[in-house]
Formats: sequence, C-alpha cells, structure tokens
Amino acid sequence: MKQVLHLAQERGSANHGWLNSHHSFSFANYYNPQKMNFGLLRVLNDDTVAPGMGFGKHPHDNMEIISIPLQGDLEHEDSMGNKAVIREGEIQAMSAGTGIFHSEYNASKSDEVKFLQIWIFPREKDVAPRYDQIVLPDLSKANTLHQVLSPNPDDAGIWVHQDAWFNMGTFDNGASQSYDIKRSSNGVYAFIIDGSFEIEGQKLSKRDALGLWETDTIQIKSLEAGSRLLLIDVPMNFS
Amino acid sequence: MLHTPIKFVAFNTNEQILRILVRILKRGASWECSGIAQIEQVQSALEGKPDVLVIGVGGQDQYVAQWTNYCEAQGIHIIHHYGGGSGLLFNSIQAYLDQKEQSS
Repeated sequence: MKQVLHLAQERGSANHGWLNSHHSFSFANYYNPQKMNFGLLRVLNDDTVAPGMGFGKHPHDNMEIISIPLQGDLEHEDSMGNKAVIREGEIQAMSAGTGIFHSEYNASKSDEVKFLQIWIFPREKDVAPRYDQIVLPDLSKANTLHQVLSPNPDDAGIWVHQDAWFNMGTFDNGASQSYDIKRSSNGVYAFIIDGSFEIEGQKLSKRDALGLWETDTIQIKSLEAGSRLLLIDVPMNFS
Repeated sequence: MLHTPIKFVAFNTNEQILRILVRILKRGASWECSGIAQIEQVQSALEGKPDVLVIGVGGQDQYVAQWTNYCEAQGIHIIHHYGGGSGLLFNSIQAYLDQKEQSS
C-alpha cells in the first residue's frame, strides 16, 4: 500500500474577500509541483462564498466537475440553458466536454455558502456537455458509506465520464467501516469533512486528506461523534 | 513567470473558449499567442517555431500524434489543456518553465 498525507493547513489558500478558497492541489495562483493531482483527481477546492457573491460566467472544457454544497445553497446557470439551485444534501455533476460556460453564485443574500468543487479528468475527451443534479440519499443514516457518484447512470448517485466512485458517510465515535477500492488500478482519496478519523493507522482531522493506492481495502475508524468524510475512488492513471 | 518571453500556439475548436485562452496567453508582458481553431492549420503554425503548443478541444488523436512527433523533434513543449480557463493553465505554464530551467 502506498499513501500520501495532505494536511488541512498545508493546502493552498486564496482569500479574495468574497471567496475564501482552500486548494488541495495546485490551482490558479497556488502552485506546488508535489501537489498536482491524485491520479485523475486534479482539483479539490474547499470554497466559502460570501452572501450574494459568486463566480461570473466562465468556461470549462474536457473535465468532469462535481459540486457538493456543505452548507447553504448555490445558484447555477449555464450555456445549455440550465438554471438551478443546488442545496446542501444534493450533488451536481457537469461534463464539460467540448465546452460549457456557467456561473455559480451564493443563492443567499444573508448566509455564506460552503461547497466542495472537484474536477476529475474525463475518460474520453470532447464528449457532449451535460449537466445533472440529484438529491443525495439520506446521509443522516450513520455509520454507513453512501455511494453518491459512479461511472454508471443506473447505479446509485450521480454519474460521470470516468471510472470514479464517491462515497460519503457520517459516523459515531468509535464506528468502523472497511471500504473496498473498486478497481485494482484505482486509489482512494479520503477527505475529512468534519470531525476526525483514523484511516489505516493515520489520524486525520477536519479537512485533512489521505490518498491510498496499490491496495484493495482500507479500514476507517471514526474518532468522534458526527465525523463525516468523502471517499474519492479514482483511476491512478489514464488507461 | 509573466516576464519570461513565451511564444504560444493555442488550438481549440471551441472558438469562444479559444478567444479566452488567447487573452490569457497574452497576459504576460512578453507572451505572444496565435489562436488556431482549424485543425489543418496547426502544423503550419508550428513551423513558426513557438515555444509551447496548447491543445484543447478538438485535438483528434491522429493529429495530436503527428504534432507530438513534430514538437519533440523541434523542442516545442506541449500542454494538454483541460478545464477551460486559467485555473489550470498557469499551473501548466509554471510546470513548463520549471522543466525548462531544470534542463538548462
């Protein structure tokens, strides 16, 4: 088993006033050649946007873009005519493919929105752009990993053009769970949303992450009540 | 990074995104960029000896293979650009400059 530890305080950060962003990997003005990606996971931004503020119209292409609000509501509008609000408890996926323009704003005039934005390299380039948004399963059921993303439209959660699977779960203190990595050529990037965990003997606090690969299964143990994590299971290389 | 002279050729068949890329790739004080939306025109642009070819949407495999061979022979760096705007592009340019510095 190989592993890489990314501590929360070692992430890149950019505070623009309206936007406070923490970058797990090199992004925009944050450049760390040791943190360019984890396999085909290229971007994990932990963003807080001030009330009523947001990202104006901007382009994307050839990337699978997943947004997960952690608190508050995010308003999305794109060049395919989609206009939607994505709320806490939902997940949004956008296959940028041959190109899409979109904007993202905090839908609230009074409260911050906090969300994760994740970019994964697609399995194939230049696909037709698509947008999807779903309500997540009942994540409040504790001590269970819930699949929230997969490569298969018929499987649980939202789907993307990549052999990637996301799982989320909230755990009681002391609860344990194992997770089987989906493919031998995949690795898993465990990102702690809240609380603390021990994963494969490594203690992790809020917003820490541990990447693991060349293994089949990982062992997870919650170290406090209400601990929440996101497991990002992605190919380590283009096949 | 913005003060290092770099001559780019940017290829992208999505012309709206190409315009944005060209604008970004002219942001450096000594950066030049030619934007190409027609795949057949890339080879002649490469013959102008750019430092970097940026490949975006529409880079069909057989053309990319041909450009890769040519660029390797001519010492032209290739950036496979994903993501649309500047979020990853400046990272890719910085990585190119690091690589260039290490090899010199």
